[in-house]
Amino acid sequence: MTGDCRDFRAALEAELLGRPSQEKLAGLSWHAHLLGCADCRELLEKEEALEALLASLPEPRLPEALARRVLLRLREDRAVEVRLEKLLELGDAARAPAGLAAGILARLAPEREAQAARLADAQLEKLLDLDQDLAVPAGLAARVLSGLEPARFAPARRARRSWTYAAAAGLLLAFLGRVWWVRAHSAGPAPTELAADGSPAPDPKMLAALDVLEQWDLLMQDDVDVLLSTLGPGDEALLDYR
Amino acid sequence: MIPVRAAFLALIAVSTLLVPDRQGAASAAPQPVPALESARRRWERFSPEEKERAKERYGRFLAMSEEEREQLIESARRLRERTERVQGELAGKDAQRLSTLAPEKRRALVREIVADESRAVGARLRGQFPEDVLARLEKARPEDRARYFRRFRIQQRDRVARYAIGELGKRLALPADEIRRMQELPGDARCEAVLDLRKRLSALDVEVSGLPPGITREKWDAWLALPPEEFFEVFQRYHESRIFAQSKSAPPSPEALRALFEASRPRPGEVVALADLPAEERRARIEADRRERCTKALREGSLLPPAELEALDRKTHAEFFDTVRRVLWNSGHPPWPRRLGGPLAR
Repeated sequence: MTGDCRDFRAALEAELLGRPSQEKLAGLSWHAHLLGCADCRELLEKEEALEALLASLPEPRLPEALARRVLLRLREDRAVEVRLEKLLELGDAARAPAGLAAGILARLAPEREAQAARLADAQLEKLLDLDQDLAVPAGLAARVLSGLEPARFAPARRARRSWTYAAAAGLLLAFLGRVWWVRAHSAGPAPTELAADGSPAPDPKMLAALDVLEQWDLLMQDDVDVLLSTLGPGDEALLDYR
Repeated sequence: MIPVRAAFLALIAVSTLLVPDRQGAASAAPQPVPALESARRRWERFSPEEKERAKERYGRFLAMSEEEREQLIESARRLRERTERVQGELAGKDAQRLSTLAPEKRRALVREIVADESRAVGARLRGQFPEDVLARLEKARPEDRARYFRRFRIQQRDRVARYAIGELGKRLALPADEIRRMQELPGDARCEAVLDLRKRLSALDVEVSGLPPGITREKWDAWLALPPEEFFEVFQRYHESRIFAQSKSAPPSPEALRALFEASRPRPGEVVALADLPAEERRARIEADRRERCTKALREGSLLPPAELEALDRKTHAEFFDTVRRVLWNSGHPPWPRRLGGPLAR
């Protein structure tokens, strides 16, 4: 995955947040990155297919009886709050002891939370019961699974990618290590053998340059004539044609 | 994406396994085992001080660029070959005197002789170098010179060699395709082609005009059997011995120039004869003797205007020998005709 892939996928993610629409995704299909990236093209097509599928589903409706019960319960809750507020207003007018209202609210809080949770559970149960009554289009499960495939396999792919990067890093380290080794061994002598006189054997690379080391004074002197004299026969012959 | 990643990993793996030993390759070009063995034997003959000095120099050598190291290796190889030749010659002529000297002393004497001879060869060649190249080499630090020198050689091989092949090919009446093929050879091979064509031209000249003066048929045939590079060197030495005899220009007279040439030549026998003196004193004595010989040759041959002859005594050694060099090799009109090849023309 390249940096462009990442940019494109960030844009796609932004469009998928909230309530995505097919129109929004269609706008992304003009993204320049898609011209050269088959993976991202495929990903966008899957997302578009999923959105089209979701858009084809009927809007869920609550049964009338359930709606009535929910509204009734909400009204009851609202009535309790209204009564409490009135009571608190009265307490204020009758110079109720300080902290009375706060104390009452604190005592009521757990009860109110439990009641809200029970209500939410009941509503969810009803909604789920309702889903069972809907007619599901043929092949929907397969299409949904296919659309979700990138997300389902993402962790495995991430793990595989991590291994790949780890292997690349290992190889890179081995490469750098070898470069270092070559330099270290060519820069200085690493005598492992002994010469005839018992002293450490000289570095073969230094021996290969022994001519230079022996002729150093001649080659490095100020007089340029010595260097000129080292012109080979072929190069010397060419001087005649200048 | 996976193939790209796989290719990336494969690339790293391959480069890890095959990373070239660049420094080793540059600092020490692959040498045949005998060369390395010879170096090892020479190393073992070094005194502890010499070994220490060599190690210190090796550190400086490694700090140089690859280009400089390659040129220094090439130049040092030529100096070693010259050293081996001088050793061989001394072993023939001065074997008895040399056998009385300690090995280190013998090596020091050989070094002196090689240095002397190298300066003489360089003095001859400098007259053929382009002035701007020479000026740049002289101004450069010794460490940088090798780099400039190498670039000059490469430039010659790239441009001059193509021209030379064209000229020699025409004189040998080679087909245009053959000339073009040789002109497109890589640098080293192109340079060798020039030497090969010069040798063929020399052979053709002899067929047409007869043997060079003083050379027998057997000797000429033996020369022709040599590889082009060795043929060039042998022929160059012969040519040097004849250059002043061939000069027709007057003044200066060929005899006077030849006398100056002989007076200025290094004489290895002198170095051996003065072996007991400290190196500095020996060098000073040899230089003074050579100066005296050259002054005599310059005066007797009237090779300089009277005012310049009078001023000779006031010159330093360096200035004096610079004058000798100018008279011999660097005059506006070279004392011998340089041509494109062939023994009689040269």
